[in-house]
Amino acid sequence: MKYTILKAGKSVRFHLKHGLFNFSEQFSDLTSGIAGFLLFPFYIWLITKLWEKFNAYQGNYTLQEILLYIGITEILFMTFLSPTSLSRSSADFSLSLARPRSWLGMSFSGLYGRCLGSRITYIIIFIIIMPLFGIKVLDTLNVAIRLCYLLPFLGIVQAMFGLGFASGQVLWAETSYFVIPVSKIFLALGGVFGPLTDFGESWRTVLLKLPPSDIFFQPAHYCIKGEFYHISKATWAGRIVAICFFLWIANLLFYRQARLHHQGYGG
Amino acid sequence: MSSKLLQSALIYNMDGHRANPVNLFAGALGMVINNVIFLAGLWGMLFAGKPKNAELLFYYIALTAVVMTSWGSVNFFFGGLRSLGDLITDGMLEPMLATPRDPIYLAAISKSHPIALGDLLMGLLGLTAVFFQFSPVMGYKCLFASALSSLAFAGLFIFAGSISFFVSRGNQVGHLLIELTVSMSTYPTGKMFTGPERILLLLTPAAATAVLPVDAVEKAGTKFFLIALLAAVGFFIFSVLIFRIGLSRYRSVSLIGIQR
Repeated sequence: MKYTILKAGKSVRFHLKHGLFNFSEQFSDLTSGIAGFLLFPFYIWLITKLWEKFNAYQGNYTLQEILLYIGITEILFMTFLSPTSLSRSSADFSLSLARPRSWLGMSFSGLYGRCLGSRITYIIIFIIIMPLFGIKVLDTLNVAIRLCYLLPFLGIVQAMFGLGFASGQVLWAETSYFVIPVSKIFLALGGVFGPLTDFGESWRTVLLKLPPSDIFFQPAHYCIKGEFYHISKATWAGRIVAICFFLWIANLLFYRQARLHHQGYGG
Repeated sequence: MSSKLLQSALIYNMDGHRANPVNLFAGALGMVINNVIFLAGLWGMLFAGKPKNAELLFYYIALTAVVMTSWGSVNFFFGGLRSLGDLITDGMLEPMLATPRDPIYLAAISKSHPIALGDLLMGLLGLTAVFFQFSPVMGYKCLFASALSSLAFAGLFIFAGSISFFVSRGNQVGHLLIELTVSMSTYPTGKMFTGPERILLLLTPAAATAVLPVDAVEKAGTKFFLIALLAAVGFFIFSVLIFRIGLSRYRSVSLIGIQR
């Protein structure tokens, strides 16, 4: 019993270190990500302009709020399902079969660390660029701090999704073509284009009930308004737990199949 | 001779795709699903339950049909153009310089992106919708606008690729430029900006790839088509010129390797 607890403790320590290593790595080569960083303010500007022209008349948000909202959803979306991160997770699957460590655990801690690291990088850029769009520094900081509260929970969802794709990559050899459509589901139906409250009926009612709303719209709305849209904090947390539970089951199924049918390059 | 080479390249590229039908099918299907979801999201945000935005509907359908057809056709039939910057950076352009044929042409037909088939199919579906839902005249106008947009996208890829001749990591800058132009072309920017902002928009490559061709579809008169034609041809010639200037100062990849 004592041996098992000791072993589990060591394992947790290892995965924490592994996650921290992947987290720090995001800050070590910032110049190579310069293109992505330039796209970030561009998308905020473009999508805000789209909203201003065709949705501002609804009066649910002010222009400043929308700039902050789009900034938050872009942070979450631009760090969601990164193909490079997914490839890294699935790359060492063969080796992991010979290791005493769990591949699921290692991939999860790696994905979680990378997700958190890249999101914090974007938050730093967000804090720098938002005043250039005319947003007060205090308002920007307030929103950024609220987002930081949610990041640990959203990181779990993100890592679970990533893990599903990484296991899928091992199982089917090629899943990259489906990463774009799946991420597009969250972009288009999760409120990255604009707040779901500004969508027309009956789209609004339906989309608010779907998981993409809990991962993008609700966190961004919370950061701007200080509360979730028409749900309590407990309800939001419950929905996130339910999504994680579903993803965990899916991941276990994928992983088992991947172990059974995996072929190395020599296979 | 060039058309025979193009025919051979297309056959070889298609043979390559046929050898891996799952890849072709998954790529095309993935992109169709991707586009459908994207359009559904924008529909939900801009049009569903919003009669105020109804006047934008035709413009948006025409824009989507034109951009998807042109993007899909250039990437599927001349897919190597989009990778021109990578070809230059990785030294893959060198074998193409050793033949009497135009290196841009050889680069263009060297690759075909299966994923672009999904865009092309969606674009053709959009053109059909314009033809039958609005009017055959509008359908033909969209088809012509797609041809102009294709030329402009080819120009964009050549221009973006040529940056690699002048700047280190130019291929990354080129991809960024392509990404920005695609975003400006797929959102209804032609209707979003007025005044000085519109003038700035017209100075970007998106003017030639989307804004002017779709304006020509929407507005009556040949004047607008002539402007779109001038923009697309002018941008293409300008890009080829930049490529030629870059090529004249091109150094072998082995030298670039030594300098690294």
